Parts: sequence; C-alpha cells; structure tokens
Amino acid sequence: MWNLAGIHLSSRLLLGTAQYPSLQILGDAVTAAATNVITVSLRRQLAQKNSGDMFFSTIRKLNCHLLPNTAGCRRAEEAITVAEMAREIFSTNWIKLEVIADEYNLQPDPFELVKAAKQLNARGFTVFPYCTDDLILCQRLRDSGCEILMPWASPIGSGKGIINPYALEVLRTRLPDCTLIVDAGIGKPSHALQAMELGYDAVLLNTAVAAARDPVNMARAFNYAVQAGRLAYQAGMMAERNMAQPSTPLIDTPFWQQEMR
Amino acid sequence: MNILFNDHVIAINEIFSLQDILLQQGYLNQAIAVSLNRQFIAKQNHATTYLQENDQIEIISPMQGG
Repeated sequence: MWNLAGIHLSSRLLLGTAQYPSLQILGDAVTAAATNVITVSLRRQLAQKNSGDMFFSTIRKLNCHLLPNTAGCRRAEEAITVAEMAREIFSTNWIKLEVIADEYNLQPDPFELVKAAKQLNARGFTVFPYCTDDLILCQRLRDSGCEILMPWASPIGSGKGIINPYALEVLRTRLPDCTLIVDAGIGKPSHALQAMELGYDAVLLNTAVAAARDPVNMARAFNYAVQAGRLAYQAGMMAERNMAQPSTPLIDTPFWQQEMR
Repeated sequence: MNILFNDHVIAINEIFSLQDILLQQGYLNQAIAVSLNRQFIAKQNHATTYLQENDQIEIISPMQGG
C-alpha cells in the first residue's frame, strides 16, 4: 500500500480512459491493470443529450478514484474554470492540471501552469500538474503548493518512453519528499518499469494500453511491469561497472591455473 | 427573449432562471456542469441566476480522458 494525496492505494499504475475500442474493453482493461485511479475529462454537450451518462455510469462501477483533467486548456483561467466544473461533476478535489502551449508536441506551458496551480491550490484542489522534466519548473510548482508532480517521459501519445532519464533522475534526487508520477509518453511496459526503477512513485498512461492490439492483456503487462520496477527500486540495484567480473568463482574450477591471454 | 443553449437558439420567458432552463431541457439531476457566458455557475447558484437576452449556456458532461 502507498499513500497518494491522503488515500491508501494498492496499485502504482494510474490509467487513462480514452481511446478504447469499447466501454466493455475499457472496464476489462481497468480490472486487468488492477489500478485504483483512472483519469477522466469533460466536454461540451451538444447534439447528443445524455451522451456522457453511459460513460459515467460505467466508470462509477469500476470503484476507482477519479482524476479529472483539464485537457484542451491553453490558459490558466480556462484550466481553473474546467477544474471547478470537474469538482462539481466528479465530486473530487483532485485535478490533473494540463495547460498546453504547443500544438506539435503538446508541451505544457510552464508559466500558465504555475499560475493555475497557485490559484487551484488556494481554492482547495489537490493539483496533479502535468509538466515537463525541467527541475526549476518543478520547484516552482512545489512552491505554489503542489505536493504531487507529473513530469512527462516524452510527448503525449508518442510512445517514445523516457527520452531524458537524466532529467527524471535529477528530479527524484532533488525532490525526495515529493510524490513523482511519470505521465505521458510511455509506450511499452519496459518504459514503465524503467520509471519505477528510477524511484518514481507511480506511472500514468493511457494510449499504450488503449491502442494495443489486446488492451486487456497490455493492461495486465503494465501492472506486472510497475510492480517489478518498484520491487527492483526497493531491492537496490547493483552498481554498473565497465570491467567484467565473473559471477562464478574461478578458484578450484577445472583448469583454474591456466593463464589468461 | 432568446438565449443560446448548447448552440441552439431558444425562446424563453422574461423571468427564467438557470434552474428553470435546465428543468425545461431535461438536465435536472444529471452529472453535468453549466457555464453561462463562458463562466462556471455552481449548482447552488442555478436557482438564483436569472437569464438575460442573448445569454449563452453550455452544458458540460463527463467524457473519457487520459
């Protein structure tokens, strides 16, 4: 068990709910992932009245904590309005804060992000800011009151994995008391495992499961990967070295007295 | 007077609250949020928020998200 914003959770895998082939497969994937937290979003309701009801009733049955996002927002003011709406609809103070600045790589806007985070923290939200792996940005978000940070591994939906492991390592080292969740860019279970080996508290992903040929089994694979990575981090990994060292003691093995060439 | 409700023009009485229009359009007790002229109006203020000519109302509902 671990603690996320005051809630005890068994899983360190947070799962998005978008892009699944069907609501049935979404539900099965969430169950296979054994996740406790799923992300949700909001949209303008136009032609189809009650279109959100089926989705909402499906996810409510999954007994997961909901983490609404502010996807699509480009200004702090927009994100704050969406957060207020999400709080009313989903009855949670949790908000995944997304304020996007660039169309090509959907990179978060660091300035608007800090501005929004400061106001949302003051309004009683528990803010999960989706951010880049920039140390100073993360420190500013901490200063604004965020106790959880969600740096990207790589751009949303790219599946490139951790493109700057050094930056993520620095964040872990410099922010030892902060809850750090790698969010976005995870493409396969080994990427999630790597993030957990770095000492990250959890991983949030969506497309890697939803876009898999078999989303349910991919969700299961991510569950195992996240658990394996966490166990490895806790077990303490050996130090890397350049020179080979035999794992089998050579004394008294046949021909041990032969000279090496 | 006319208002814009989810991009559709609707004619309503002069004294009509946000709660009245939600009731009329079948949105009461649903998992939705409401914006009036791009400002969020909390549920507890729906009954006391009165509409004016050309007001724009949008219904926001849950959807899948990553």
